[in-house]
Amino acid sequence: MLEAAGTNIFNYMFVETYGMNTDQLVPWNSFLAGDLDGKGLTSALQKISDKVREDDSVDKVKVS
Amino acid sequence: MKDTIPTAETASRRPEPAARGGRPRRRKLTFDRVTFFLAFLGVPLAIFVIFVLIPFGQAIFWAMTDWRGFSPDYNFVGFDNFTKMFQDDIFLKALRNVALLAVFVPLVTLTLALGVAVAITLGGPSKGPVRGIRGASFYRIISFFPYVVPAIIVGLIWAQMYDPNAGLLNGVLTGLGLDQFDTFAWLGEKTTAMPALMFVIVWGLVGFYAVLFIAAIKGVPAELYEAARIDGAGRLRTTVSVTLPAIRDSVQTAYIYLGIAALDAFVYVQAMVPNGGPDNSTLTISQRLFNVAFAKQQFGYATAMGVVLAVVTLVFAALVFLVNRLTGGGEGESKRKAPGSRARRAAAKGGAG
Repeated sequence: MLEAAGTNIFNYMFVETYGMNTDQLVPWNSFLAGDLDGKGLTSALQKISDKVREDDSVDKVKVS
Repeated sequence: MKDTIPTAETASRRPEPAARGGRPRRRKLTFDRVTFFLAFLGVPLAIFVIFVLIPFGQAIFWAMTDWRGFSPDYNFVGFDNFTKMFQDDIFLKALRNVALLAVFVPLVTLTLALGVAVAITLGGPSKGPVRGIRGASFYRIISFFPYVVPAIIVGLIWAQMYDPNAGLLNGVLTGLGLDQFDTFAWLGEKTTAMPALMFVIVWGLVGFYAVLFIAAIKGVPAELYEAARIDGAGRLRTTVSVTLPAIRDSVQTAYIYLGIAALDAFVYVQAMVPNGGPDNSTLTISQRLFNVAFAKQQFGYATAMGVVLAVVTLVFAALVFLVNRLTGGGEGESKRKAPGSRARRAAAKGGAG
């Protein structure tokens, strides 16, 4: 199954690895309070991940 | 002729070498003098340099690296951390939040503290000597109680008080018939989280500053107040025109202390809204720094935030000094004139006006 997925895989520990938990709690909180819809939540979470991706000072874990 | 000149001058000044144009003759370095300097100047200076100045320098250096905290090597990145910081929307929000705290917390706290202090020292009956309201010493002790409780306990207690379902605050409000507060999350709504947090900080600190102001007001000569009263000044007028100018140095000091406390505020926010509050509306720089350093292990970046926080604190202190200077206070003035002369003039003006 992993082979079939090719490059479309991710490490499920990514939240802890990059210390994004606290950042992600904020949009999750807004979502559960009803201030954000599903689309807003996913885009906010994506923004947090993108910030880590574009940060050169963060050592990226190799996904295999 | 020379002998007739009073000796007070010559006794206090070393006579000859300065007149010759050279620098004053160096005193002999006896064992007593050397040990005295070592103990009273050398030791404090060494402690200050080792534990204050060197860490400052280190922090500024680490702020320009991408050190990860536990990594053996790091790269020097110059001002990258700072440019990154000012593009980070979360950090900018934290900066805005501490700015709000620094504006409102000192203002509200000191206004309340001044009110309490004036009531306790001067608010008494308008006949007879100037004195406080009845039971003044009782109120003075009571007002100090919140400050005796450690800040972390204050934060935890108020976190329970604000609890939406079981909190005392909502219990009292619904008990009064205000049913819309049934499950109202004071720390969970964007609009109320920050004011609720500010209220707790003010609640925790107002007693201390009330006691500080009481001590300052006790140092103001009572004749000033009697004169103001004879001139027909009411209590509010006396407070604004006599008390406030007379204790302005205390107010300035208190303002700077409180500003530093409000810019930090780490204990209170960490106890009440540990994750930055709804939509980061109560996130402070210190909290962000803590997360970046210990959750993300970006120590270099976090140190840069600390440097920015230090700069913000210094700017705040400079602003307070500047405002005090512009409104006519300041060190130089109070040294030249007798203490209270400003207040006396103000009282005279208040009476004439």
